[in-house]
Formats: sequence, C-alpha cells, structure tokens
Amino acid sequence: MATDADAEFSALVQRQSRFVFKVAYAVLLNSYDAEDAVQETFLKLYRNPGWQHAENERAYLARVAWRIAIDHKRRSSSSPAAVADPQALDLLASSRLGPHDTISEANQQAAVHALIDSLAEELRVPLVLSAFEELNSREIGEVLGIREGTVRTRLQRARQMLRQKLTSTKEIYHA
Amino acid sequence: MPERDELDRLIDSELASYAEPRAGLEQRVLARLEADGAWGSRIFLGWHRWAGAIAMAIALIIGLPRFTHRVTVNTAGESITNQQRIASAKDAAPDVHVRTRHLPRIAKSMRSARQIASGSAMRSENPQRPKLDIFPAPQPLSPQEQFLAELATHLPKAERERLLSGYNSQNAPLEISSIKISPITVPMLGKN
Repeated sequence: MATDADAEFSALVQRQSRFVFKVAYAVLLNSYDAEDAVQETFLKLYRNPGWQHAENERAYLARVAWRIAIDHKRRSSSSPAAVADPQALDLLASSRLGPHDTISEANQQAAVHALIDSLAEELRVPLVLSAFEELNSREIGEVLGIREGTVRTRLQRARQMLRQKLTSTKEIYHA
Repeated sequence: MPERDELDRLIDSELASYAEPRAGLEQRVLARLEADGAWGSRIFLGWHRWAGAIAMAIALIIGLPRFTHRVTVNTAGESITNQQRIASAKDAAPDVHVRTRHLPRIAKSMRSARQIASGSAMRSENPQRPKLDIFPAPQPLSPQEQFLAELATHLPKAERERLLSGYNSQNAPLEISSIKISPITVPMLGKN
C-alpha cells in the first residue's frame, strides 16, 4: 500500500538517483560498487528521512552518498588504481581531440572519462560535484567537510591537470 | 586562448556525461527497497514507535507510585534491626510462638525458620510491613514437624535428653576400623 510518504520518497529516488550515483562513482570508480552505494544511500534515507528537513536537498544527499561511498571503499579490499587506462589514452590520441569531430566522439568521451578517473580522489570528487546541478564551492565544501577556498583550489588544480593531460596527449599524437 | 576554451568546453561536456548509471537505476533502487522489506515499513515503524512510547508511559504511570512507595517503606525499615523485624513478625503470628516456645535446639532452628515464614506471609498480606531479607522463603510447619514439636514440648526432661543424645550420636563422626591387606603371594610355577 503506497502512502504519501512512500510516493514522496519514490519521487526523490526518481529525481536524485543519477546524481547520487555520480557522487558514489567519483569515489569508487566502479559502476557496480557505485550502484551498491546508491542502494545503501536510499535505504538509509528511507529509514532516516532527514532529507525532508534539509535546506539543500542535493547537498544533503551528496554528503550521505559520499560518506557511504567512502565506507564502501574502506570495506572493499581492492581499490581501483588511480591511473589512466593506456588504452583510453590511445583512443584519445586517435580521436584527434576535435570537439566537433562526431566520428570519434565515443572514443573521445571514454578517453576523457578515463583521464578524470585518473585524477586523485581529492581532486576528482569536487570536480564531479561541481559539474552537476550547480553545486557551488561552499556547498561542495559542506559535503566534503573542507573549506570553500580549498574546494576552489582543488577545482582549479583538477581542471589544470586535465588540460595538461589532454594537451600532452594531443601533442604526442601529432608528433 | 581559443584552445584553452575548447579544452574547457570539452571537459565540461565530458563531465556532464561522466559516470552515467545503467538504465533503470531508479527502478532497481525502489525494487531493492521493496525486496529488503523496507518499503512501506516507515509508517509501521512510526506507529510502532508511538505504541512503544505509549506503553512505556502507561508502565511509568502505574509503576512509579508503587516504586516510590516501596522505596519509602524500605528507607523507613532500614532503621529497624533484624531482631526488631523478627519480633514484629512474632507479634503478627502468636499461634506459632505459643507452640514452639520451649522446643529444644532442633526445634529452635525450625522455629526461627517458621517465624520468618510467618513474617513473610504477613508481609505479603500487608505490604506496609518491613521486608525481611531471608532467603529462601520459609514454609509453614508440615504435619510431621508439628507432631515432632508437640512431642518435644510435652515429653519429660529425661526423655527429651535421651532423644537428643540419640540425635547427637547420629551426628557423631563415623569410625572405620583399619583394614589389613596382606601382600600378594605368587604361587610357584610348575607346582600343583
């Protein structure tokens, strides 16, 4: 029997599942583990409906999901290697890095995603959080328990590193 | 710097498509909630919490006055010594004392137990009396014990002493005469 509360929670799941998945994935770098973390997050939210009173629903969910993903990562014995997949870098090189090149779009996407995966977690998570739904630096800081200035610095560093990697990959290809 | 702008746009667009879940994530989340038995249980849980709180409140309302009353009685009773308690118990059960006043030692020990029993019985009837801290709770005299008590009370002194000496001799330590075991002798082989 679906109640109003259940309907409301169902709407929350529909609204935020993908976002929660992205937060979990940014930590775990594995789709299956991330989905487990999403399930755990929503189970926790269902049992403790604090999200209903949260000022910023998205930031609240991000914090819960991030903590669960961190716990999940600690629990799992095998942690993913934080290095770019060489195959993905080859794909990136062969894609010629043209944003308008529709033929190699899939390769390019996979390659850039691999580069994002290769970033250190402390840079990757703020970058991913900043990319979705306009979470600002202050909110990201609240989610991760760090200062707003630190978030900005990390975002800048993450983007800088990505640009460097993209540029060097391009140069290698053209050379 | 047009290249940088392009790279930024590329990063932004790829970040937007980064970490895409498999299709049907929402359905899987809801199905998992249902499978775990959590779905729909929140209302029940809320009702359960209320029921628990109400039950606890009722228990407190009923139990608190009794508890405070008992504490008051115990506090008052602490100033009374054990002898005073037994004496008050004696007053409460005069029939037992009349019969057991002149019992010999065996009967005395039983008497004190019965006194406590009568005190305990009175206490249960009247919860205002001080609580005797004796365990186990003594029982009233059995017909055999009552007969023995009557007998001991009405017997002449000489007979009572004879009975007591018989009882004492029963409790005297056992004496076992020394056993003599002679060494085993092995018969010579070939002789028979």
